[in-house]
Amino acid sequence: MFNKRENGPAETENSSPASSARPVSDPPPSSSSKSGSAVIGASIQIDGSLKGDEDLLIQGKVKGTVELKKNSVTIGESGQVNADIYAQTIAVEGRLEGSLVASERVVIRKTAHIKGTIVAPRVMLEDGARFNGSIDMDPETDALKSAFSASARDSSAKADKPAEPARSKPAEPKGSGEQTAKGLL
Amino acid sequence: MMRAESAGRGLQAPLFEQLIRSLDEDRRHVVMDCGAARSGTIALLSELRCRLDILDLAQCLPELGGLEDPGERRACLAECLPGSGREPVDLVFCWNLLNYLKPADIETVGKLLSPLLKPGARLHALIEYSSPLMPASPGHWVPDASARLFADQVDLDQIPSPRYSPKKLQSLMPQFQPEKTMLLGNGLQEHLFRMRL
Repeated sequence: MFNKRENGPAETENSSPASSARPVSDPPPSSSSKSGSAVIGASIQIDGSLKGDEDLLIQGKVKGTVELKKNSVTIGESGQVNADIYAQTIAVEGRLEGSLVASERVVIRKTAHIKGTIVAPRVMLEDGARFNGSIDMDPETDALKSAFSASARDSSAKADKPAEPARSKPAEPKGSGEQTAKGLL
Repeated sequence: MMRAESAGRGLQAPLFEQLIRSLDEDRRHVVMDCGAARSGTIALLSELRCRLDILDLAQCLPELGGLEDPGERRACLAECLPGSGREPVDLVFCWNLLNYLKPADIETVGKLLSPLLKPGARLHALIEYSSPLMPASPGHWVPDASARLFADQVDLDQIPSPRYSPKKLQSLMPQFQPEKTMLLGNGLQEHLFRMRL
């Protein structure tokens, strides 16, 4: 095997010698240096379906579904999320139970505690992170295609019925409310 | 055992290297890692069309240590394994776990794992064999891009090693047929089992 995929090297970041043999690209910045994103502050709790068109940093508690399919979502160190998240890139520094579906990549920081399912063509994990569940890195997986191909064609139709990744928890909104990322600053 | 020198050069595990090289890049693979999530494992498998299930069964060792009743021990292990009805698994990594399980627990793991696997699925295990001592708690093996294994988080305290023989493992996990066994330079025994058809 070893660089079998044609579309670029996998990413890794750790302190062990294992990683030194692999090409490493720059990971996205941690939440402390992230600017220009909508922020769900540490004292905020959201229960419902969250959609929008800008990057989002979650430091509070979110339960339900988060759909920012053309943007990045970061779960900060104080973030506690029990949700299914759909985004272009997702970074996790805090706690998450649910499924993460990213069209580009998922980054799991060493402070992260995750229980659930990750679907993304690129996944980077820092050693020290706690993860229990499945990581589907198959770029041809149906879960990825159904979540993102359909949304590109008709995102408004998807807004009423969120995509459901295969072999993951149901993507139905876990709460009754609905909010957009805008206005959360 | 996971000696300090392997942290520098890495451990050459020929059966693991052959196994990784044999994986077809065009086919989807489902891999189950009984250990904790490690960056190297994810990076290595990301080269393939792959789903990786991470069980981190070592998490249940402290709880298991406090249980005497066989039924409770079985329930404890079962809780850490995924339920059936999922996409069946092609390959299992079981690198440190078996050294820290009692024979009855190894039997349980074999029984619990087998319904989750495809017929012909392979199980790769690393067993303490030459040394009478091993780290008191399981560390991690982290593969690099060429499938060399690097020891990580090695416990400096030591306990007696069960030194399970190939025959003993075979009798404890009759669902699996031994395919190849190799004694490695650091005294570990590398095992490749195949799920019986």
